[in-house]
Amino acid sequence: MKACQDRVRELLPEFVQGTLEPQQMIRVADHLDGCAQCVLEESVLRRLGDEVLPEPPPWFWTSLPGKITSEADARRKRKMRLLVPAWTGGLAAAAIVVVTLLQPATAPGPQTPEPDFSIGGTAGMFPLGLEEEILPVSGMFIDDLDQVFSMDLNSVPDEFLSTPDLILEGDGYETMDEETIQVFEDLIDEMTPEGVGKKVMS
Amino acid sequence: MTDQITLERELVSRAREGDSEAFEDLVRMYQDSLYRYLCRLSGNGEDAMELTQNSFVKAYVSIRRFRGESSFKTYLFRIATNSWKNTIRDRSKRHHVDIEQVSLASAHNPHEEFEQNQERRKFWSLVERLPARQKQALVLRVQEGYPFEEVAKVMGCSTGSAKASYHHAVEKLKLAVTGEDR
Repeated sequence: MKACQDRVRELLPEFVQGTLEPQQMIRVADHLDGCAQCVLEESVLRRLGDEVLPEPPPWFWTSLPGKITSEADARRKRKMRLLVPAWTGGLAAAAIVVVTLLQPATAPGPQTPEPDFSIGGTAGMFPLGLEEEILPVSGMFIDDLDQVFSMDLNSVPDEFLSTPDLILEGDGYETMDEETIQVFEDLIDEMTPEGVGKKVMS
Repeated sequence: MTDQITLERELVSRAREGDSEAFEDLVRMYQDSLYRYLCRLSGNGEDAMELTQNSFVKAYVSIRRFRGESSFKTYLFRIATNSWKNTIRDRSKRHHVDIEQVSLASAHNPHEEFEQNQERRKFWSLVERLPARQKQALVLRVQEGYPFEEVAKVMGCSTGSAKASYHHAVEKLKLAVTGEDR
């Protein structure tokens, strides 16, 4: 069955609905008189138009506008709730980074334990509080550092004891300036014949 | 018609500014046609009610993103079409037109009435089984009276593609009417 290719065919839906201009209505009606295919199509379209749809209950229409706005507000709130954790999580992460970066510069002195200047106290053997900062670096160094701790305080250069650049953070060692590290290494090499210093640096 | 377009633009403009009463007027303006459209697509009133509400909610939430490149009705029907597509995608079972609610011809002869009922049932069953795009094109063109250009906008395709979908659907229904589809 070959379909009619006449352009009138495209006007059939409006013809069935009666929404065409009078002239067009006549043109389509004339075409239908001689075209069986379009007559068949017209009958299909009329059937489609005859469909009776189920009516919603009256309350549906009256309550619809209110339901739409309340549901939209509820969705917006849900969306906001979903956004909050991501935002606060990011802020928390940023805060941690900032605090971590600022910590060395702002770390208050009092956090360092009071130096023990008593006989046998650690302050007499090593720079103030240094042993407590280094020890957490790695347990494997503790035995070696014990040898370092046995150093005589008098053999430690003054510049090492007084340097303000000796900033310890995390494992502590990498934040020393190069000059201080060199002094520290030389000191260890000098005082420990087994090359403990090399081990510390490795 | 021009008055309606002007009124629609004004209401959309106010709704974009957050005027919920203006949006409620838009709802009243299109609720019937949107429900009918969704009823034809979904094949049952309950789904159509749910989809109507959801479509309006989506339109309300996204009204600020509506750029006015088409009419608000077209925009709304496109949202509704996508909602319907998502629904059928999510469901494994198919819904069918509630045949009992389809009006019957006023035939007094019970046998004739039965025959007509059977024929009508078969016709609507075929409409229901049409591929989604063909069904959309048919409903928009015939039952909503959209020109092909608007049908294409709602379907999100070219005018040629909308025409092709429509003609395929009509040809299938013609074959069903003549009994040549057996």
